[in-house]
Amino acid sequence: MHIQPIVELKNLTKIYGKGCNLCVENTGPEHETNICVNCNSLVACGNVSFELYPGETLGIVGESGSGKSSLLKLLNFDIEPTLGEFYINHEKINTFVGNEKVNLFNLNSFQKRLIKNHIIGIVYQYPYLGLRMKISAGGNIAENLIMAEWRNIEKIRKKISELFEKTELPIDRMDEQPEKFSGGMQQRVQIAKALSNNPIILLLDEITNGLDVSVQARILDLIRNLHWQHNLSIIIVSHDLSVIRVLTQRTIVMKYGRIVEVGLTDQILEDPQHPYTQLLVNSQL
Amino acid sequence: MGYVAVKGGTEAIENACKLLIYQRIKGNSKPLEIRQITNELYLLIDRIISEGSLYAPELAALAIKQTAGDIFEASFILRSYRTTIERLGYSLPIDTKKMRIIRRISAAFKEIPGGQILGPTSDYTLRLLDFNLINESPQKRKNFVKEFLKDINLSNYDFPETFPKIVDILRAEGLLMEGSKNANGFFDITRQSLTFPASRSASLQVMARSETGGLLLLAYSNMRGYGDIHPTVGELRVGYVPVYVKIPFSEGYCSIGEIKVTEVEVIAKFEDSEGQPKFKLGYGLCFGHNETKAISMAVLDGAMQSEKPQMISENQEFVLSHIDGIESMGFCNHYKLPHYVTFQSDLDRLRKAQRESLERNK
Amino acid sequence: MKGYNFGFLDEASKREIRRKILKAIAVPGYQVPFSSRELPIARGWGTGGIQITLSLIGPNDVLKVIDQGCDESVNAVNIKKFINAVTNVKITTDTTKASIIQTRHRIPEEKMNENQILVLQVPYPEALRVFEPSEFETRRMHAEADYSRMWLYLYEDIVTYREISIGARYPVMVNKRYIMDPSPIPRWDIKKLNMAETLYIFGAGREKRIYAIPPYTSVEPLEFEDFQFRVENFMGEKCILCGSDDTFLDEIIDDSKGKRIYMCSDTSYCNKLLISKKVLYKR
Repeated sequence: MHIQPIVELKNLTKIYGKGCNLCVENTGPEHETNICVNCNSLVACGNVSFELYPGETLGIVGESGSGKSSLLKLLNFDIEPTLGEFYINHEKINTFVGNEKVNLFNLNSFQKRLIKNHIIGIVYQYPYLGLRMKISAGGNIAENLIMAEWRNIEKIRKKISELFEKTELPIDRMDEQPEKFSGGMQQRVQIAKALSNNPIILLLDEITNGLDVSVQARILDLIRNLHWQHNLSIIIVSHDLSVIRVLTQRTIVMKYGRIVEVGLTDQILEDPQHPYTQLLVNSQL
Repeated sequence: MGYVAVKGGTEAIENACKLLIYQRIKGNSKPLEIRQITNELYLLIDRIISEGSLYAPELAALAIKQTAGDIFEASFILRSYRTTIERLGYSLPIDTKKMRIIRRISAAFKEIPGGQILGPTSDYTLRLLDFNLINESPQKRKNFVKEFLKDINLSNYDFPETFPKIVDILRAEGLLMEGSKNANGFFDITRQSLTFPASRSASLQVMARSETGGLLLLAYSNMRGYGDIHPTVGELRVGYVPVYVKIPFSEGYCSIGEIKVTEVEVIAKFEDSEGQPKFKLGYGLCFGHNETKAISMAVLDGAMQSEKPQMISENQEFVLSHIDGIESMGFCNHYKLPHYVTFQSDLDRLRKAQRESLERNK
Repeated sequence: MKGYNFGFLDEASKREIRRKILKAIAVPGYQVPFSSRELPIARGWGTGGIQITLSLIGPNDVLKVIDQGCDESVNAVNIKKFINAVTNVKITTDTTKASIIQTRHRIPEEKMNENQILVLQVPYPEALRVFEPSEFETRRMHAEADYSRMWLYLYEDIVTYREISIGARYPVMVNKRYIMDPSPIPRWDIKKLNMAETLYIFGAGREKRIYAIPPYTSVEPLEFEDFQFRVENFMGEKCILCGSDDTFLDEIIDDSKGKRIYMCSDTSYCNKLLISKKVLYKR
């Protein structure tokens, strides 16, 4: 049976610096670098292609500098790619861009914002990237609802309360600013915000970094529950294989901006094929 | 009823204007001559023509007299006179290599081709009050001039045609990062509204007519550490440059006179996009003799070329939006105008909020 | 005035301003940059409004200038004096007789018609400036109609104060497209902007922006369904002179004990009512 992927990514390349036509050729795992010797540019992602299937949780692992965080930022339109195609196959997208299959990277910034707000939710590694620290925690969530044309304060606050409940945040603190919250709570506010407009795709970037082990476990639990409740398709970036093991079904291994191995998570962790994956798995066990 | 509604604004305004004139002349001294102001307060004139952005020393002197020496008001009068003058055309870019130099120094090199020329500068004066000036007699002045000129013999002195520019020497060595040449002509800030990011041509124009103190404040913040220009004065020159205009319907050009300007080039080290260490140039030029302004301008020009602006002196929108003396002074003073309608509106909000808070506490 | 063009500005400058006005009318609520000449009146003292008036005015126009609703206020007197000196046009205090009315902080109480133009002086043209200092960023927001942060600002206000705390300068949505600063008019006057017969032109001289509301354009104050826009409430007070309780009132401290009295902010309208009442009384 053929299942249509919800996300298709084709030949995504992101080069920082002036770039040249040798950049992709000169970099990657076989050259052991992501800096082009010819022009000194940094190739964060080179020819990256993959699919995400409905309801799937896909892990992306790799060391820092492997390009995994750039990849997530590209998918959330935070940065512009150098080359590449990005498709989301979902009826909800047609309301924003029409019925034709279009490369989402080519949309204008207004359309991109609509997609970010209605289809994609993101949780960043650092809460200050995803939250306005001087605006109340509830206000941070309200911003997304406002973007979706909510214009009733009572209804907005009711929805915020629901999201607080769902992400196990204390409702009586919704008018406080997130800068007064602990790291774990800030991540929960980010998750609540990401969920506010019922996204189809959730992007998670190293969301348990720097948190206590017990807090980490509760956040992972929360993600797992939300995944089932909302039938989300999730891409989770992490350098922590235990996070990948707990949450994902399939995993992509990245090095120097390239995908070096793709497979079922169990398989990758138990029987890694690529030498780099073997190194990665062995060093963390 | 104790209150009488304010009426007769017209009369009050007219009286206020008369009182201002009276204030200036009531001391019964000899009327200040325009020539006196242009001759003796020439540095003040230079500030006014620069900030008023009109090279008209006599009119600047008149403005100084009329405003009792208020620099903001005098520049303002000159600037608003300028706006009524028809724009006939643009001159050719002035060539400061052709400057008739009265002062020229470089801090970057001990010796420079053509030599360091100190010229008339207050840099080395002792800042002591000279009480002799209280009763300065015309005879004393004459004696000083005679004494000063007696040993100077200009007839057998060989004046150089031009002085080479220090930065040209560095440029020839490939040590200088080249800015854009502005091939598409220049932006005229008096005819077009500034939008950001502004071109370098627009940025330099705004600074050239900015208020000296405002420019100094921002440049100083950068020099002190809120920024990292660490400038070296490559060259500072003061003197007179000829201004040429195109002769209509011909290929020729003609000179329409010369203007006194101060020009500064500061050199700052930075890395280009390929990580190569290079020098970049900060450029400052203003009407008249005003070294503080020209250096500040050059430092800010360098600072605003920063690839990743972090400090306010590197933020082009911030710098260019806040340095015009005439605009900022006008807006500052407008707060003296009545605002009682807006205040009433705010009062209404505050009272309602107070009433509600009282009710909640009950 | 000797040595100066009619209307002070040279004709090329006036033409530029008129072109920008036309653009502003074509895109209601959009801030059109213009070069903004210096005037012999200081920045912040109505130079945007004056430039608009000077570029539109002809010898047959009749001009009214008010500040805070009052024809006699110092700013209004000063501007009238200047415009009259450089144009020699007729000056009136009667709203219904003026062809151009220049104003600061008020819209007259009497209804204006299609043959009149109201020129408003603007200190801060950017409604989004309250939360975003960068001009580059606010222009992007307008271009993309990205207004969620403006609404978020109002949300936070409600959370903190239980109502929107903005006094004057209440942001409005023009033609369902651009959020616009209506200049510091009280909320009382906001409703007069909606579907008006009169052309409103806004000028910010220091910030170098012109914007406009053409006749019969929808202008809505930003509000939530359950936290609606409301105008100033004078709690039933009346004008001590004409007795009106349906006009915007100035609150005046009458004695050193803080006793308050109220008077119409629109002084020419108040006078008109007074005269008609006296006439009635004499009869």
